[in-house]
Amino acid sequence: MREESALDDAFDRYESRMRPYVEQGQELPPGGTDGYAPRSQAAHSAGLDLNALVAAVATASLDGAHLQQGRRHQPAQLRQTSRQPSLRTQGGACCNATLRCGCVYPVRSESD
Amino acid sequence: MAFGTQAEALGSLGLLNAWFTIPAEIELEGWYLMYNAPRGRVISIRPGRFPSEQKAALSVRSTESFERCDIDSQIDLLESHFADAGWEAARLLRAARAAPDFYLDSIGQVRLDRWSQGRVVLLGDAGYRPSPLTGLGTSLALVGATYWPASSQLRLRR
Repeated sequence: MREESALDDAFDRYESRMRPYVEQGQELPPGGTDGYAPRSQAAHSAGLDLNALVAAVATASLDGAHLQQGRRHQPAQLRQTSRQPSLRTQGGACCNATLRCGCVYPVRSESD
Repeated sequence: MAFGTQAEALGSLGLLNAWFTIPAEIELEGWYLMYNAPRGRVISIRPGRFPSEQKAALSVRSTESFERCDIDSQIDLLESHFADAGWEAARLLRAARAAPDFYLDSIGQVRLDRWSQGRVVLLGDAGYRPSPLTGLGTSLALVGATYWPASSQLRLRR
């Protein structure tokens, strides 16, 4: 009985500690799925500017990375880096920025 | 089973995503290339583990169901979306049929009110899968694997 109660307490403690991390980690980037894969041509074009802004802000705080504007209708480029973004940065921006940068704006990390 | 059905726990993001390995036919020079096409289509190619291979992904906004065990029909489904997408789409669709590791799945997040039931506790993606759009699945699993033992041993050791 005491063990059951201890387990319940442990479960509660685990959940209360984990919940903030999970809520933060599951937060979708601005625009959500539309930002990653716009449906319409208009949203696609409009989204590119937003993506560029987001990518610029996101990468500016990361490992000295910066945004380099490219030409339209080219795939985005993201150089792989050996550095691991922090939990906060990856969940809030970095990883999402790589997905959001779309077909216009290459993102280059100077950390390599 | 202890936490309800998959449909109850998995919140779909309305995306289908396929991953597979392809021969390295374009020069990436370490870059991860992504290409967006209207109608919610995304194509990406990144370096693989070996110089001779690359990893490809095709993503499309769709809630269509698909046969889990029928890869040919899954690729047919992708062809219906990507046939006119441009860039490397045509080559990747051909390569998908020859890929040894083709995998298609819907993208979603696992959201549960509780991660424990009786003597069962969920860690990692089973309890709180965040999705490829956010990343962080491994990070959250590691945090959970750290917090769960710490939370439990505090009392159970007495």
